[in-house]
Amino acid sequence: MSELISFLESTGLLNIDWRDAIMLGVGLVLVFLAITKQWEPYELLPIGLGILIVNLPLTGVAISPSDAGGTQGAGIFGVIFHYGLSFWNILPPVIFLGIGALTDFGPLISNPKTLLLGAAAQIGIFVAFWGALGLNFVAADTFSLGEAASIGIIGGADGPTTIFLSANLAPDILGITAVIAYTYMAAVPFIQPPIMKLLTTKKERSIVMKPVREVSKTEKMIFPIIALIIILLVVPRAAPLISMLIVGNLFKESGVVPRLTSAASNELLNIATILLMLTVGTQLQADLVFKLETVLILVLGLVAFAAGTTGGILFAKFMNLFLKDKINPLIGSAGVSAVPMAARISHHMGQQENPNNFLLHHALGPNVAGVIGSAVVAGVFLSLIG
Amino acid sequence: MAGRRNISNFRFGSKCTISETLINQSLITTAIGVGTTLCLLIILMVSSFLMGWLSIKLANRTVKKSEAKSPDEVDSNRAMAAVIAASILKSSQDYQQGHSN
Repeated sequence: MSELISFLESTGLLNIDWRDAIMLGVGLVLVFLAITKQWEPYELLPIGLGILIVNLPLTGVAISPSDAGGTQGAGIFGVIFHYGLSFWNILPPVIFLGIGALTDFGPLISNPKTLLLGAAAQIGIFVAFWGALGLNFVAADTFSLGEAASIGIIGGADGPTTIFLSANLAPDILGITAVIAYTYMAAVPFIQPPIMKLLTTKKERSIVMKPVREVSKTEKMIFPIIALIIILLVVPRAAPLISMLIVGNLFKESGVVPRLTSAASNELLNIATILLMLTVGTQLQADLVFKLETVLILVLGLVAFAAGTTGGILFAKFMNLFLKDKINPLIGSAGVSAVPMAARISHHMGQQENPNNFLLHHALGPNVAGVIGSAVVAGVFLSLIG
Repeated sequence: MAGRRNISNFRFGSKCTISETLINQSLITTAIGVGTTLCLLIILMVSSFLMGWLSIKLANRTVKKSEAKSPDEVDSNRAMAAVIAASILKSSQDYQQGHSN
């Protein structure tokens, strides 16, 4: 009888509490959204499954080697988190390698002005950064400088950059910032359009942009090399992200290593995505989530996204004051990264006003600039705070 | 998140301050962050403009070169084309004759 009682006590059934149950519900919702609505399925499905697994009591899958006092007692996701993220932080750069192999700098090179939109949209990062610091006026030591930077970078709308920075500056809130970043990235179709409509007139949304010139293969190879040298000379701490992005891109543009390009953009990216997203999901344990700071990060993340979108649009309108060939302000919102979702939103919004308006190619410029911009900001944060 | 500080004692309206050092550090971080990002992206923008300008110049020069081929060369190309056309015509006539016989 005592064995039976002992066995029952070792099951999750007798150890589950209401917070675990809610998190299981959250995990199921994410899985449901990923499968039925196809919201960022490559991210939300593994994250949702990770949440499900880790919130089933007593599995121990998320025990990290440092907590366990050695690798033997650690759980699989704890080991991946420890070595892949918090200790070595290897997974976000690997993801950037794959993103680089999928990125086309052509739209950016053909219309370099759009780089400014990518810069303007980074304002969201600093708004949320100050928002997080401002909470210290309400309650002392709410967020440290490193935590504020990790929360702010959510506004970069770039999952790997958020994870990279949080793992370095605020590993305690890594899981929460990562999930919030990916959740808002998935929710871009809901967050951005109302802001875009609010800040632009019908006439502005109808602006048809001049077709951009064809970019030569040579330019597509020279630009990333210039970017690599310039950025890393100024912000060396951005090297893990920027260098991998450029390496992947040059694999693709050179055309001489198709197998490496394929490996980077398919196998490697997919493997890194599986490990990263599952591990991020397993960081959302009930005892970490049910805290006031999680709600605050959720609000600040939304502020960051909204401010970034606003910054991009308003700067596009400002540029139009001086430009002969006007740009459609809708492409400004794509400066928040979230590649390529934000660019698609700009395109769809433009088509709603004028079905013959094709903004996708134009919007990819600020979109890619946003990726570079947020990686640079992350590098600056690391240099100054890390 | 173990060992988090006063977040559990979060009270709106409670008298809390933010240290001057933190404010200064945040201001410096913001200024350097915004400035660096903007400057780097402007440098990249100028580089792209220059690259595009050079690329267009080079492309124009190539087109001009091909247009400015010497008349002798053009004539010899025409003569070669005429020879090829005549040969094709002759061989097709031979072929048809062969079949009719």
